[in-house]
Amino acid sequence: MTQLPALISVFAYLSLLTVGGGLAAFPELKYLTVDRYHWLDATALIHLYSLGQVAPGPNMMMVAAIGERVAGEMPAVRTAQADGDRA
Amino acid sequence: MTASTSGDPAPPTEVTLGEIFRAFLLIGATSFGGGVMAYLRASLVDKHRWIDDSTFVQMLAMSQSLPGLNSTNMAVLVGDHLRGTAGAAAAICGMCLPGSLIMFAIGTLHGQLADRPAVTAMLHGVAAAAVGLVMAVAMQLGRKVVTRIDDLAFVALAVIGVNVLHLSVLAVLGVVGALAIWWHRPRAAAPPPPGR
Repeated sequence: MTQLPALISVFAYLSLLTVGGGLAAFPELKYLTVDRYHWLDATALIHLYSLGQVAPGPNMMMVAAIGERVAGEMPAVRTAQADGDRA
Repeated sequence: MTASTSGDPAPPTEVTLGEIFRAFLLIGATSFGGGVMAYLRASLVDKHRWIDDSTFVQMLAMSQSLPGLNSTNMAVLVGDHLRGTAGAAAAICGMCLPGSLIMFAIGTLHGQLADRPAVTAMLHGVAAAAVGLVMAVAMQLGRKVVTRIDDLAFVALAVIGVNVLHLSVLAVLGVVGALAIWWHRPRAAAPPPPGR
């Protein structure tokens, strides 16, 4: 749960970078979640991103799976919202 | 505020929040493989007739040029157009709910099962397919946007900045974006553009 503020700020920042589509933020998504915060390894990120392409709805809903990994149930919801709500 | 795109006629009949939520929930639950825009158009323009084609295209352009996911931006614009702020909230909740619940479940399963050989093999295949999808998107976008030889220089600069020099995307966007804007600035008398 202590990672919650970091989760929200990382994904709100990424949301601002996604001009033209969610894909634009992928390099920064990888850098922040894998290299900087070590929330998951690169293979897991690629797996989750790929599964996000297969699942229905906006592909970037895969951020919910990252949130779930980092801190359990509630943050997954927050992460998806932070990424979705910045319009 | 309902006047997100000024000059639009108000939607013909009052649409309820429940209808907005259900329509976007259906789109969120059935739009596989990233082509959310096609599903949005089929639902909003053809099926429900909540917006006409030119409004859709106008909103699409706004969604793509503003930060945030295109499809969620679109949900906010359409929801706001139909029922103001509450409509926007209903639309974005409906759109995001199915996918995020499914990805939440997948995330839990992935954490528990990723070590099994059969799961690893399947994920490898899915990842390869995802690379193909990403390349397809890049090529579609490239064909539309990279129309001059000198545009390739900006493509190369962006790739080098992010993949080789490991600069932050924000820095690359700022520098390469500014360069590209300067390069493509409107010129008075037209000498033939260099590099062509």
